[in-house]
Amino acid sequence: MIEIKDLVVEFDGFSLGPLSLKIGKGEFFIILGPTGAGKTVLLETIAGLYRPSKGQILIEGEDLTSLPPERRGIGIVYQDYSLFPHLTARRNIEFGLRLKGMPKGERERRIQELAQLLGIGHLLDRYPPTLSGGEGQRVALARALAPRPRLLLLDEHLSALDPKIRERLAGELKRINRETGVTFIMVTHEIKEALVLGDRVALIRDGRIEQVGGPEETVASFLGQ
Amino acid sequence: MRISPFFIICGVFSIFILAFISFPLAKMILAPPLSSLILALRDGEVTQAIGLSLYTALWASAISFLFGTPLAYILARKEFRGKRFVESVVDVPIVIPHPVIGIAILSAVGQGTVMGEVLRSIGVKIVGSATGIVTVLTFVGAPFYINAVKNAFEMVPVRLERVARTLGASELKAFLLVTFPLSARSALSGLLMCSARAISEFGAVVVVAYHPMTASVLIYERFTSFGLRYSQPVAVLLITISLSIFIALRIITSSRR
Repeated sequence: MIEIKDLVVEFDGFSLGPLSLKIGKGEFFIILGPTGAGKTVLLETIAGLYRPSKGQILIEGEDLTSLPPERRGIGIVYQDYSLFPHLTARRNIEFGLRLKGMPKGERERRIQELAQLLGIGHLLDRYPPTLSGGEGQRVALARALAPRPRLLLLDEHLSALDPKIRERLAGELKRINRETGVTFIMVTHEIKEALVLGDRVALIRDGRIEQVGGPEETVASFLGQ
Repeated sequence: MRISPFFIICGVFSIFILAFISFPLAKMILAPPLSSLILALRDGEVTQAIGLSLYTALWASAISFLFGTPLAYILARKEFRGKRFVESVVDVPIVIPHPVIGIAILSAVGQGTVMGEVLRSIGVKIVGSATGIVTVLTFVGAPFYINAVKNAFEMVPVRLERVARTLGASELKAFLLVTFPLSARSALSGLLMCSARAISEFGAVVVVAYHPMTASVLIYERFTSFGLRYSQPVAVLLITISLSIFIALRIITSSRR
C-alpha cells in the first residue's frame, strides 16, 4: 500500500497539493490531467527528487518522506526515456544492479530475465542513440525494473510514440505490471491510456486531486468539465 | 558543385585572416637554421625553461580541474542570488591586462602582505618561485576550463542525474557516473585551453617571477638582450613542443569517441 498524506510541494511560484492518495499493492494507477497540472512534479516528489513542504509519503507503512531518492526503492521512467547515452542498453540496465553491489553472474541473470520479459535481447549491445522510440522505452523500463523497485513511476510513458507502437506497448505494460506485481503509477494526459491501463484513475488539475475512481467514471468526469 | 558568390566572398576574407595569422608564424618558424635549433635544444637554460613552462602549466591545469569542476557544476545546476556576479568573477582574468593580474597576486600574497607572511612562515614562497608561477597560471588559465566544463554540464539533461538517483546513486555517484563522463571531452578541451593559456602566459608571470625563467620569459630576455636571432630558436622549440603535445592529446581523445 502506498499512502500519500496531505502532501504539499511549493517551488518557483508553483504549488502542488495538499493532496492525499491511497494506492494498492500491484495496482496500475493512473494520474490523468492536462499539461501543467503538476503530474510530473507529483511523480518526482514521490521519487524523492523534490522535498515536500508538508505531508508524508508511506510505502507499506514506512515513511519515505525524508529519505533521499537512492534509498527509496522507487523507479522512474520519463517520457524521453532518459537513457544514459554513453552506456550500452546492457550497461543501462545494469546501472542500478552495480550500485546495489550485485555480483556479476547475478547481474547477467537479471538482465537476461528482463530482456526476455521485454523482448530486448537483441538490443543489449546497442547504444541509446541507435534505438527507436519503442526500443528505447523498453530498455528504459528494463533499467527501472532491474533493481526490483517497490513502485514504478511512469511519466507520460507512451506519449512520445506513434499510435501503433503505443497501443502495443500499452498492452505489454499491463502484462508487465501483472507479471512483476510491482505497483505502477503512470501520469498521462491521454484519456485512452487511462481507460486501457488504469485499474483506478485520479484526476489532477492545478496541483490538486479532484477525483479518484474507476477509469470510466473518472474519464467521464474529466470529459464533462 | 557550384560555389555561390557569397561563399567566394567569404573565402576571400577567410584567406586574408588565415594569412594574417600564419604568415608571421611561418616566417618565425622557418627563420632559424636547423643548426641553431639543435644548439638551442642542447642549451640547458632553454630546455629548463621549456620544462618549467610545461610543468607549471600542468600544475595550473590540475588545480583548475580540482577546484574549478565543483564551481562549474554549481554554476551549471543551481540558481542563486549573486550567480551573475560569480560568473563575472570567473571571467575577470580573461578581460584584465595580464600585468595587472601579476600585480594583484603580489598585492595579495607578496612580501610584506599578511597572507604572504603566513605562507612564508609555512615555507611557501610565491615571489620568484615555481609556486608563484603556478599561482599566476592558475589565475589566468582557470576561467577557460571552468567555462568550458560549465557549458558541458549544462548540456547534460538533469533528468539523467535524477534517473541515476532513483537507481541507487548518491549525488556524488550520479555526477561521477553520468554527468562527468558525458562532459569529459569538453572538460579535456577546457584543460587543453587552460594549459595552452598557461604555457603562453608572459605578462603576469614576469611581474611575479622573472626567475626561475619560463620559456616565454626566456624568449623575452633573449630578445631584449641579444635580438631577434637569439630568441627565435627558443620560440620555435616552445611552439613545436606545445603543438606536439596538444595534437597528440586531441588525437588520443578523438580516437576514444
